[in-house]
Amino acid sequence: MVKKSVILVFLFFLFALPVHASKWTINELVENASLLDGVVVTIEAEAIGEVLERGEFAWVNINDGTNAIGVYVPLDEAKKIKYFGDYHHTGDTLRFSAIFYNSCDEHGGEMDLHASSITVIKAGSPTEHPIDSLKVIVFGFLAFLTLGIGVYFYHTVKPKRVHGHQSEEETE
Amino acid sequence: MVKEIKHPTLGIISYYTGYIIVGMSLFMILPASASALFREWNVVLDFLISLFISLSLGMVLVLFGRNTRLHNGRLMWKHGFVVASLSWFVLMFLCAIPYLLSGHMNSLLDATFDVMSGFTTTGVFLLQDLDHISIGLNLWRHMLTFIGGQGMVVLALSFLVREMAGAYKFYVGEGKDVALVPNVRGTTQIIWIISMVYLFIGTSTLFITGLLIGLNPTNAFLHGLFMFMAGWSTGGFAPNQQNIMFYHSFSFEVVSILFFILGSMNFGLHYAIIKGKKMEFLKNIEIQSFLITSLTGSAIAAVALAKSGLYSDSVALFRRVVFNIVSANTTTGFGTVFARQFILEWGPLGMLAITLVMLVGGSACSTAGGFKGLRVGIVVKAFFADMRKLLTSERRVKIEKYHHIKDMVLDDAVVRTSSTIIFLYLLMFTGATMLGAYFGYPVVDSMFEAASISGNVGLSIGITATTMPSAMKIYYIFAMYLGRLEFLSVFALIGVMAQGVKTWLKRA
Amino acid sequence: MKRFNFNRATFKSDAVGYASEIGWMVLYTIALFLLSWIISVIPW
Repeated sequence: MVKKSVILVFLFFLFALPVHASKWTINELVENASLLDGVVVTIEAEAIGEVLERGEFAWVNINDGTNAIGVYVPLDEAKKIKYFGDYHHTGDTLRFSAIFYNSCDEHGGEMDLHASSITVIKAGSPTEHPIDSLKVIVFGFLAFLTLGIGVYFYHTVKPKRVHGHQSEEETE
Repeated sequence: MVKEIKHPTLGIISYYTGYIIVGMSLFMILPASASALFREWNVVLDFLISLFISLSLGMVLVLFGRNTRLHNGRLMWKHGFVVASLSWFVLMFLCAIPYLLSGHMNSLLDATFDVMSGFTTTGVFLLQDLDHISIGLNLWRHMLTFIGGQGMVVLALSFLVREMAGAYKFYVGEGKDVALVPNVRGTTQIIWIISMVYLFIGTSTLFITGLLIGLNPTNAFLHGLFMFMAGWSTGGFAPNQQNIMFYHSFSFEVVSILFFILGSMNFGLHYAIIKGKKMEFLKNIEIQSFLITSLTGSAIAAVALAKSGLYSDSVALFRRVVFNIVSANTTTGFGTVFARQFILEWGPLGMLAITLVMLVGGSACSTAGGFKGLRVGIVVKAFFADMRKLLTSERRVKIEKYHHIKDMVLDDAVVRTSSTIIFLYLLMFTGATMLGAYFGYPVVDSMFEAASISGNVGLSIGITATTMPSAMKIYYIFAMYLGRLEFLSVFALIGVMAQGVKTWLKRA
Repeated sequence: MKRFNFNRATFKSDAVGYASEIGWMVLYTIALFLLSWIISVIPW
C-alpha cells in the first residue's frame, strides 16, 4: 500500500511539474529570477540589433515583446541568424533551451542566458513602411503655410539695411 | 513714434518664447536628414511635418510680440522665468509630434511624457517597441536630452548677435545661475563649446569601444553618439530596450561612467579646471558632497548585496551595484540590472541607499537633478557651523565659508534658499509617493519611482509603464518639469497666468 | 557669427585642462573599483 502511494507521488512530480525545460517569457524570467537561477528554460524570441562576437562565442540580444535579454551562444550558432530586428527588419524568431542565470559569474553578475544551440523557427524579413498618402498631403499643405508665414516673417522682423541704419533688433 | 502696446507682458513673453521655439524647430532638420540617409522616408515626412508646425507657431508668436522689442529695458525677472517655463511647456507638445506620427506611442499623453522625460534628462519612457524604431526618431530622443540638459534657453542665448540687457533673467529662469564670464552670451557659448568638445571626445571613445566589442561601424558610431548624448546630459536614454546591458561590456560601462559623471558636474567647475585650476576639483563643495554620497551609497548597497550572496566578486559588485548607485547619484539612469531587480533583489538597505542618493542628486548648474550636492553641502555645513556657535564662547564671531569655484560666505540667506528648495523637492517627492500608494503600488516601489522622477534620474522599478494611471503620468510630467527648472520659473508661469486671468475678469 | 574662436595659444592649455578633468574621472573610477574589491573580500 505504501509502495503504491510512493510511486504515485513520484509519478506526480515527474509529470505534473516541469521536469523538461518549459517555455517562459523573458519578463517571467526576470520576475522569477531567484527561483529559476541555474534552471534550463525554453525561450522563443526575436533576434534584434546585431551579433556581438566574443572570440568563439557571441552575444545575441533577443526580445519577445515582454522584455529583452542577451543570450550567450557559440559563434557558429549565432551565424545561423540571417535577420536582426530593427526599423527595416523583423528579426528571425529563435527557439532554444538555455540555462538562465540570475547573476552570471562569467559575465560580471549579469542576468543572462547561456545556450549551446539555437533554432530559427521563423525567418525574419524586411519590414515594409509604405508612405502614407495623407502624410504627403498634410506635408504639402504645411509647406505652403510655413513658406507663407516665413515670407511675411522675413519682411516684418528681419533687419532692414535701408538708409544704412541698423534695425531695432540689433540695438538692444 | 512708438506704437502703443496693449499687452506688454504678453507681447514680451510671446516674442522670446517664439524665438526659442523657432530655434528648437530648426533642430528637427537633423533627424530628418538622418532618416533620409537611412532611407526611412516616412520618418522624413514625420519630422518635416513637425518642423513646419513648430516653425509656423514660433514665427507667429514672434510676430505677435514684435513691437515689444522696443521696450527691452523693461525685461523683468518674471518675464525671464515665464519665457523659460512656457517655452519648455509648448515645446513639450511640438517635439512630441514626431513621436506621435511614428506610431510607437499609445497616446498624446505618453508622447508628451517622453518629451518631458527627455528635456528634463530624466530617462524613463513610455515609447513602445524601442528595438524597432527608426534611426531618425532615436536620434531625436537622444538630442532632446542633450539639448534639454544644457537648456533650450541657454542654446537660444548662445546665438545672440550681441549681449542683450536682461538676458541673465532668461538664463536663471531655466535653472542656472553660474556666470563663467561677465556676459550671458559668452557664458552660454562656453557651455556649448565645452559640451561640443566632449561630444567629440566622448563619441569617438565610445565609437572605438563599440568597434572593439563587436558593433559594426555604423552602429558603433550611432550608439556611441546616442550613448554619449544620453550620458553627458545625465539623461539615461539608450537606443535599445536593454539600456546599457545591450552591449554586455565592462569597457563600455566604464567609458560611460567617465562621461556621465563629467556631465553631472557644474559648468563653472568645468571651466575652472579647463582653465588651469586643477585642484578646484577637490576643493569644491559639490564634488566633496558627491564623493561622500556616492562612496557611502555605493558602500552600503555593495555590502547589502554582498551579504545577500547575489554578487560575490568585485567585478560583479562594481558593475551591478556601484555602477547603478553612481548612475542614480548623478541622476543619469543607465541601468545594468533589469528595472524589477531593484525591488526583487536589493533588499531594504540597498533600496534605502539608492533612493537617498537619487534624491540628493548631482551638481547645481549642470545637467543633473535632485536637491543638488551644493544645497546638501550648504545645509550640512550650516548645521555644523550652528553646532560650533552653540559650543564656543559667545564673544567669538566667525564667518563661516564654503568653497564653490571661489570662497563664498555661508550666510543665512544662502542657507534659507537651499533649505527651501530641498523642502520643495521633498514635498513633491512625498506627493508622488502618496499618489503611487493611492493607486495601489507598494510604498517602497512608489518611493523609488518618486525619487527617480523628482530627481530626474530615470531608473525605474517598473511603475512607469503605458498602463500607469493617467493621473500619475500627469503628476510625473509636472514633477520632472518642476524638478528640472527648480520650481521658481514654473511658479512664475502659474503666477503670471493667474494675474492675467484676474485682469481679464476685472475688465470683463 | 563666430561661435568658436580657435586660439592656438589657449588650445594647448585647454587640452591639458580637458585631460586633467578626464584624469580625475579615471582616478575616481579606480577608487570605486577599489571599494568594490574591498567589500568583496570581507566576509559579511
